[in-house]
Amino acid sequence: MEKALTININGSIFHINEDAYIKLKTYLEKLSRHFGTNPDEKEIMQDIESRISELFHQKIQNENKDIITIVWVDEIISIMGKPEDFEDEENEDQNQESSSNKKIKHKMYRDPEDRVLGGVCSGTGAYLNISPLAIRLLVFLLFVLTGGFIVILYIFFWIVLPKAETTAQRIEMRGKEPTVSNIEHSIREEVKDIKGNYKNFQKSDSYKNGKEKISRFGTIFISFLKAIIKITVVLAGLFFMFIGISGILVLLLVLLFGAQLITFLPFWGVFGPDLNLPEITNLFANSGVAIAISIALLFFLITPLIGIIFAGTKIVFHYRSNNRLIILSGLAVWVIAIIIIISIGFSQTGNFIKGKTTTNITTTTHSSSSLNYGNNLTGFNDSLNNFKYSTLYIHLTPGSHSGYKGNHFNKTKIKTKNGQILWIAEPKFDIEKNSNNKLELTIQKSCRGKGNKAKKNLEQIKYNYSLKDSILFLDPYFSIKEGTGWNDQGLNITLRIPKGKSVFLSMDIKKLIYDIKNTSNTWDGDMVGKYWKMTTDGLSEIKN
Amino acid sequence: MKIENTKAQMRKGILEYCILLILSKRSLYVSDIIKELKKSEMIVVEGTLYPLLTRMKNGGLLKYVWQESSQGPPRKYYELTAEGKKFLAELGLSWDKLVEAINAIKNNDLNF
Repeated sequence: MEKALTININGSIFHINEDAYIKLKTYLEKLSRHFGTNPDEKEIMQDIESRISELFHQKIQNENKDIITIVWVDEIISIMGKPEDFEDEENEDQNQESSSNKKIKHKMYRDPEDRVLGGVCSGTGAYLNISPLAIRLLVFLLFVLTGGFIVILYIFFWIVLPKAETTAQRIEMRGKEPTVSNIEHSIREEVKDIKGNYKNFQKSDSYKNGKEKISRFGTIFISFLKAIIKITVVLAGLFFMFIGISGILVLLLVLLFGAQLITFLPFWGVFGPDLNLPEITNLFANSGVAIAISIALLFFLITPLIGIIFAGTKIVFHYRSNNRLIILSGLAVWVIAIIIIISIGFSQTGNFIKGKTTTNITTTTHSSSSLNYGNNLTGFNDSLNNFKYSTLYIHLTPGSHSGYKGNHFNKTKIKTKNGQILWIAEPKFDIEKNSNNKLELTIQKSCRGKGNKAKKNLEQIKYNYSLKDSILFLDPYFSIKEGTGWNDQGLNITLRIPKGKSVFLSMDIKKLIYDIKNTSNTWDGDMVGKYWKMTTDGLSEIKN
Repeated sequence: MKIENTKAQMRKGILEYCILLILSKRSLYVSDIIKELKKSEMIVVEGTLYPLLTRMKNGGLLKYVWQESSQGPPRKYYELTAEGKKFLAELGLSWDKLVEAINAIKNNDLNF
């Protein structure tokens, strides 16, 4: 049993076996290519087709068979002749034509006849006239070096490169002339052209007339320009590819491992996005929403990059592809991603922009009635009440600042300490003058949102500090209970000290200090490691 | 040197002349032209003929008319134009000269 097709040759309907059809089609394509540079190609091909049609009619009549077999096709080909057979029979015009025919189009295809997966490597090898094995080894090396990233590129090529199915396509894939690289070759040709033109120009030292000079100069100039353009275009294509590929690489690295990595990479270190997928995921209480927005974001950023790579590869390697389909589907993906991002964004920010809620917790020596917010405040209150030293030393809680690992997002950090995931942020520390004669510490928590939900969010903010003799220990971070979601949580620590009392700001609290007013207008960072005394005008440095 | 190549070169030079000669008798369909040429072993494969005919037609030597055919679609029947006839006459003269020259070379003993 064989599959048969119905074909129309020059207005006649024939039944033909599938294998015979493929052979005939390939043959006609070959002929069409052979006559391709001939201006009368269409007419010639039509004549040939009508002759083939006639020959088949005769065959059907003579042999009393209704279906064209591969044997008949072979016979037809031997009667009509292959393009190779024409070469030595044609006269000068045709000879010229066949020599110009050598400038066969060189295009990139996938090679389905020598493939491991999609035939991308073998196709590339055939295109560059390098052993596919070398390409495969290179790809494997890149796979190891890039941590599997090359897979994306491979899939990309798999999608955009057409398969070299017909003989014509296989010829195009290899190109007729064996060259190490078609790009290099064509550039060399171009350069040779210039050299030739220039030599001719030099030879014609008679410079018969200005007109000739100008026209010669013109041809040199044009061929020079051509070469420049060609080289520029190829370089631009390579640059596009580089930008696109490195962009995707950076994007994936950033999304998977955090923003710090990209600073090591050139170009993208400056312009790279400040994103971190795990952290973005944590911004939203609902993990389903988080995953959706992550994926949408990924597509939103990666689609233009793939577009850039596509453009680059199109420029460097000329290959046939369904541009419109690729561009439209890419655009569709991009627009859908934008719509998803916008709609999720609106639904999430709805709560965020409702307002800001704050709570104040004050511990003070002012009143004997206890201000017992939190667990550690009662004791702290007592300590401050009994504070009898003239100078208060302010330090970070020993050991509290070490052991954290992880990344940050907009001052809020996700760190792990002792294997536990912590959501932490830096508090802001300020010193003010207290109008009464007491030492007073105020902790102000804040977050975005209103109502009970915001109140609950505030309750999830935890901050530790302690007083030991004359030393006030502050934790470097406050923590947010995991799963609360990012709501721009903040924590302000305000220390109010009465006139005459002094503080020593230790070096290690540099990061916490936030805009402490002082008489000498010293910058926050320069205030540490020094003694400060509260005067009528404000804090002023005590110089030894 | 391959004899086939030389033969092909020789044929190539006179193929146009042969076509004009064949068509000078009467207008013919391509397959008839092919039959004639094959008989005299002027062509090996038919594919050679089509570009040649098209070129000669475009060069004003030939023209064709469509004629209904009992089997299949209408056929192109080629015939000479006035210019083609003039061309043929001139080619005929130069052919005669060629034959003469070759015969002279062949038959004369070379006396130096």
